[in-house]
Amino acid sequence: MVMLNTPARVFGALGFAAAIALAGCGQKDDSPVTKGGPVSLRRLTEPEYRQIIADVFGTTIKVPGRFEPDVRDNGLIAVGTSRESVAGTGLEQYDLTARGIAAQVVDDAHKATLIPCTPAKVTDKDDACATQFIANTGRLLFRRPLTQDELQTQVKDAGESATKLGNFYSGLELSVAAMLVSPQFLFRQEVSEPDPDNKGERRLDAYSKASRLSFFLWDTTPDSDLLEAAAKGDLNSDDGLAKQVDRMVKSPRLASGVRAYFTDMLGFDGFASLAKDPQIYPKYGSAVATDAQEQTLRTLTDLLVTNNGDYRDIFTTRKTYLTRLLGSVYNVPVTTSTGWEPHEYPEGDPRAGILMEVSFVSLHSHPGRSSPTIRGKALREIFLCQKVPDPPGNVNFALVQDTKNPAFHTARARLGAHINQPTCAGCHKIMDPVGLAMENFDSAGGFRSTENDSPIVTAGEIDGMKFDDSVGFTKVIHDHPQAPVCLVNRIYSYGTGRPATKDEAEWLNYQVKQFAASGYKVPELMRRIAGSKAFYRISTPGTEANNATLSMAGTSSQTEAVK
Amino acid sequence: MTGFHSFTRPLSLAAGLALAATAGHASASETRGYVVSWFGVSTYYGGDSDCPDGLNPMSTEFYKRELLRLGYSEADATKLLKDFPGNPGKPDGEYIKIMATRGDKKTNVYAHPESAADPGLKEVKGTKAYGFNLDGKTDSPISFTDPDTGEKGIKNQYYRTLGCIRSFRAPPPAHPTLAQAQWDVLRDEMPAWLIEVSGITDPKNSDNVTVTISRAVDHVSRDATGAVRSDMSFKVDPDPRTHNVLHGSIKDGVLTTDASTIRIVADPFLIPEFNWKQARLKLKMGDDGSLKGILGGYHDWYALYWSYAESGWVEEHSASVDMPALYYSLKRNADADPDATGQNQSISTAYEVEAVPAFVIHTEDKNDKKVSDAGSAVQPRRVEANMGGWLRKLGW
Repeated sequence: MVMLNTPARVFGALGFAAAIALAGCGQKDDSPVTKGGPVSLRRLTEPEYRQIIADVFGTTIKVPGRFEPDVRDNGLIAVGTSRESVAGTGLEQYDLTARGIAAQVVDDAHKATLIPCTPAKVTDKDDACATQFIANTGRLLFRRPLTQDELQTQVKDAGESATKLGNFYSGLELSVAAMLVSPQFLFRQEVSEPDPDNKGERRLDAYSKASRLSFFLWDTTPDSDLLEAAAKGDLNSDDGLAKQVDRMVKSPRLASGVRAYFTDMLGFDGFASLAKDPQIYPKYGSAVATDAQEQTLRTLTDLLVTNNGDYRDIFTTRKTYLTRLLGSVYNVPVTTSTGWEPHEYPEGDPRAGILMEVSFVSLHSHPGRSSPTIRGKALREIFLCQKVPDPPGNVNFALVQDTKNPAFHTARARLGAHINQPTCAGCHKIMDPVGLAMENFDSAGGFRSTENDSPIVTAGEIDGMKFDDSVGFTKVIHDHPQAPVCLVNRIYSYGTGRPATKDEAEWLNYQVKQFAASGYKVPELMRRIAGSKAFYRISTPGTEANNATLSMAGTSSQTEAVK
Repeated sequence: MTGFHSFTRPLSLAAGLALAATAGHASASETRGYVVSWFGVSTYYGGDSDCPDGLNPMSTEFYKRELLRLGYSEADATKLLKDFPGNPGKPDGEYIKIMATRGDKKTNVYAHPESAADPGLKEVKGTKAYGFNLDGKTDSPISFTDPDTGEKGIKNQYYRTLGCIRSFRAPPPAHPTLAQAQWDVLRDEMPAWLIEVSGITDPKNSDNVTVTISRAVDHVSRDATGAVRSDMSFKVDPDPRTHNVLHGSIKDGVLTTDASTIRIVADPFLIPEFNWKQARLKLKMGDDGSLKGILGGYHDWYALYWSYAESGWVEEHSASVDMPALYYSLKRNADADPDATGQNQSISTAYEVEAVPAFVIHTEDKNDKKVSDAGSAVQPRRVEANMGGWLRKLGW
């Protein structure tokens, strides 16, 4: 029996379900009309691939092998996947992985659970049983029912293999492996169709809608209910779509979707290549890096999903989670021997919010020293959607890299001298004050009050707003009008797999206002986006000009909306 | 301790995580927590001066000596020893069975070392060693002088016995091979050892401090350099067998404790448990928050012998510790607690101790107690079981 499993990583999202239940079932989409964007062809990311396998075949199925790295575009892997293909070596890896998975699906530990019928003879083919299994499994893997041709081909191939190998399950094994290397599985192929309600315009077809919706809210393949709704045409009606969106937003699985979005937005794929000098930061290692990511994701899902909190509080919340390992980095006691426990930074603590957590400050630092510049750039690009130019090629970094320079004890002093170079000053004035606010945290996330015995000053000013210390800085970012604007833009891009178009600026502006009116509730924002027509509208041929990417100039009016 | 980052060093926490120290008051005292990051028998490396008779032979050498003594020809002895680890051949070579009964050709020489004659162990004849003046005498012929402080009357007969065995020798800062190997295994497999120092009014000078040595229910973790990770949290094993409360003082940044018994539950890989009499600590409190120094006291010498001999030929051949020779030397050098026959039952010892800052958490939670009962209690085990563990750990 093919089934969807509740992922283990979902935790504690039930608490907010009641609040969401009151929010929007059947709410009318009164947002501005857009002309839509192009359909996308998106390669599955490694997390998506793994989650699909866990949902379709169960969490006991191991996913062996390695995956090709993903590409980040416009701040998101979700956008970069629209530009990815599969190289020859990548296909070999997919094939090895598929064979490894398929072998487990039909092994003695799984076949009784995963295959819904028993062949008449184990040593021979059984087309009826094979059809039942392949139709069920293929529907979940391809995110739509198999066509008659696809189904007949799969059953025929499975039968021939079973006959040759003398084993029914060996035939199915090859069938599963074949489906897992099919472009229909590896790529989320969106298909558009004429919109009968708006003559001359196009929309995603029902199964493409289901897929976009499921990956956006749950980070996985559509479940049977959603595919059934697509089959019945329910997703093409306002009420039918709203019903499915509400069901999914109320589900504990929304936490998976929120985690997946922030994993992408925060660039956690960067941890795969992150290293620290062990002699300088002996407490930092791969286990700490793994826990640091999980800490931030737990902080976010607890605040945004479990407690349905204000998005802006991610910058100021004093509530987080720790393991014993992280406790050694944060220098606080942790009573739980294994696993996680809640922790609240006490009053007066220099840490607050996810910017001061190990994940952010360590990911945006050099291996052997912190970097206010990199941190400032990261904050502006990730949380404020502001593009900071790369440095010119002929910059001399010697001064900022010399952490033992007797004349410049702190990063602030070194950068102060560095920006005397005219070609550097402009950008550094944008980045450095932001990053210097986080200088109390070294490259590995540990606290320090001095550098080279000189006190670290974290006071500063960003975009006209002054702050006295690191916590004051988090409050400034909390109140920065661009922060919610950036989130709305970015989460929409995440769902559609493309940057927003200029044509969609007004729609986004409207969503920003609604986001503010909701109290900056992320689940409600996701519900509104997922329930909107704009989310599924496809631009018609000849309107390519509408597809011009929305620049930050286009978001300035949205900033006004929340001021 | 007034705020989060006034935690200059991890502080001990009382039950329910209420802070043990009464912070913020001028008269408040501080409690500091530590986890032991290094423990090993203390040996002084004096080059040629401490072993003027030379070093004890390697196991290949004393095995061959024993084979010749038993009547084997040079050729036969060489042939038998071709199976010695590192040489081509079988890991369970015939020589092992012969060595295990080398006394009277039928009795297990490790369990009954007196079945063999004393082959003689070359002992330390130098004058310097670390430890304590356990008996208060400075003119005893067995006295050493502390190489760092010049203190006379140091008693460390355990070092006198072991100090000329190659696996117990290493020029600083290296640790002797056997001690290092034992600790490398223990620190990963054994619940951590904890030290708490409470009543600190001044980290450099405090007249009355209480030092608690206990065992955790948690294990140590390593950092990126392989060292014991500092600032980790450890829950104290509520088993009273693992608790030692000592009185001490801090003078010029050096913590010393009064003589007391100290019992530390360890692991059969090293020794099931240590039981020292008249034991004391001398630990320098480093500016980096660490502790480094010596634990010394009298210890039952046979228990120390058995901590090596329980593994039989495994440790004998891998660490080149001639077990009957060790037995007779320990018995000969024992310097306290004479029995009715006059044979001393205890031997003066000293161990190196290092510790790094840690959060020490006391809890009476029933669930935690279960954790302790299930995972930490050291149960009496049969010798064979211990040997099995040894063999597995060494890959045999």
